[in-house]
Amino acid sequence: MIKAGALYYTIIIMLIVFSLCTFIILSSFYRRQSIESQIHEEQLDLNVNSGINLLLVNNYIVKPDALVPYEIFANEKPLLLIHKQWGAYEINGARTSWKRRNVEKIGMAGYFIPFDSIVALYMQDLNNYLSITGETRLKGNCYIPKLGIRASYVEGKSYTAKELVFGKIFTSKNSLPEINSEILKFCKKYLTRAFSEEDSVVTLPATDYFSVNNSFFNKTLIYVSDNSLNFDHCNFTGNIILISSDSMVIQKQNLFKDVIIIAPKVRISGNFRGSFQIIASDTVIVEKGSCLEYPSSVLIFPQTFKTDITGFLSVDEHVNIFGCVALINSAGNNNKGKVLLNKGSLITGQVYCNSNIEMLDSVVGSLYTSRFIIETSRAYYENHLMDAVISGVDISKYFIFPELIPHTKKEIIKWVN
Amino acid sequence: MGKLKASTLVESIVAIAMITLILAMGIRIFASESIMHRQSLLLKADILASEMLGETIENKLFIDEEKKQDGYTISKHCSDSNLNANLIIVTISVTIRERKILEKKMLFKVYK
Repeated sequence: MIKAGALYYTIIIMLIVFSLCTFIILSSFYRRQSIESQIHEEQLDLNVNSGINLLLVNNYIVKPDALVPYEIFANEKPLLLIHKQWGAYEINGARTSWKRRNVEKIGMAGYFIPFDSIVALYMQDLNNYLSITGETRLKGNCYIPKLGIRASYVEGKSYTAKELVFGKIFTSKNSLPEINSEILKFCKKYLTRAFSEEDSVVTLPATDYFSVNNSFFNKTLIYVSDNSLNFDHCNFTGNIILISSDSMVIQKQNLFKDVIIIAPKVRISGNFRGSFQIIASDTVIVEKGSCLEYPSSVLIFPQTFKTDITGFLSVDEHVNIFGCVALINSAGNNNKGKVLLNKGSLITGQVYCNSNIEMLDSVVGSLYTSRFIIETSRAYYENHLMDAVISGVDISKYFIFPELIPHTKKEIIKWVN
Repeated sequence: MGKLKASTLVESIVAIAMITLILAMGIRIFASESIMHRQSLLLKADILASEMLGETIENKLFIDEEKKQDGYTISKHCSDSNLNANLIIVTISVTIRERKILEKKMLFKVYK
């Protein structure tokens, strides 16, 4: 027989049952909250992706360089969208938030060109022949002057293949395709230092052992210097533009990622590796063994300040550039600048030059030029190619091109969050 | 057989009240069990909608579609967006016994 005092047993049992019930109720509550949060966050991700897709098809809907609220779906919180030109590429980003959770994506975009539409070579029709010799190979769609292409004998070498072009031949026009005006506008803006409210301009505090990272959602951080800059053990990542009014030297110990450097003269020291863009108004030299990883670019715009500068780009031996190279002279001076692609160099992407190209190795992707030259100790050959390879078919069919030549389909190259 | 004996009337009343409370909590738990059942429905619906969205992204198949699975009806509706001619709004909704459980939507780019 249990003695009187059942109340104590009842209290103990009740406490146990109460704890159990509380545990089940709370776990049920948190589970429900977690499922609802998960579903909501998935929709936030979809909204952000929708924002990026919207910017890829129409970036004019938002004012450039600033975060702009934009309602994509009715009855939903507006997204914050950002679009900016970034050298030869563009930046598209979207951000949204719910409770304390931020969802954001920002990516560098370029043009997707269907594989069979890739132009391997576009040579401006200046009423001349294209003469090829030695191991030269032209593969893919080639736009050649009306006079045509012919095999020639230069420096003791004759053309070694049976076909002149391994692909389709089209007739080129007497002008090169127009370059993207947004890129020209961007380069001119920063070469002439016409900064906007969306730029945060500061003086460069140091050129050695200096590290900075800036998100593309922030204002563009612009370091300006009037001196010659020689970077050593520096780390610059993201939304940063480095401007010098003299010259810049980038040593191989530096880490440059997604940034843009602007100077009249730029020298990339041997064996450097990095992914960034160069905008110069005079000369760029990329020394032996360097690799400008995808997506990089080298853009030379002479005549921004002085009319007697014609532009020079030297790509030394065993240099790889993934992205684009462009030398754009004004109309009066476009037969004077020069792009020199040395033996063992490889450019994957686009090359655009409305002056002269001396090409001793390979371009995989597209090459647009006014004329080719070969300079030897004994002679100067115009519109000749010797042992050069230009191929529009050896590039990945998923390659996203820089935005030098306008196209319609834009895709994200990489996320730069 | 042992007898459970309350010593006072007050003690008996308190014990009865406690038992009533425990019963009430039990009913609450039962209700929360059905909440958990609803949560499972929601979770399953989310998985099914995500699967259909994944297939749409992978195959770039922008056509209206409806399928039934485990008692759920998953339907995809594609319509032109008024933001741009190259955009399509894909809405995926999951219903069970004609009751909409969840809806997901996304803008896709389709170059025309």
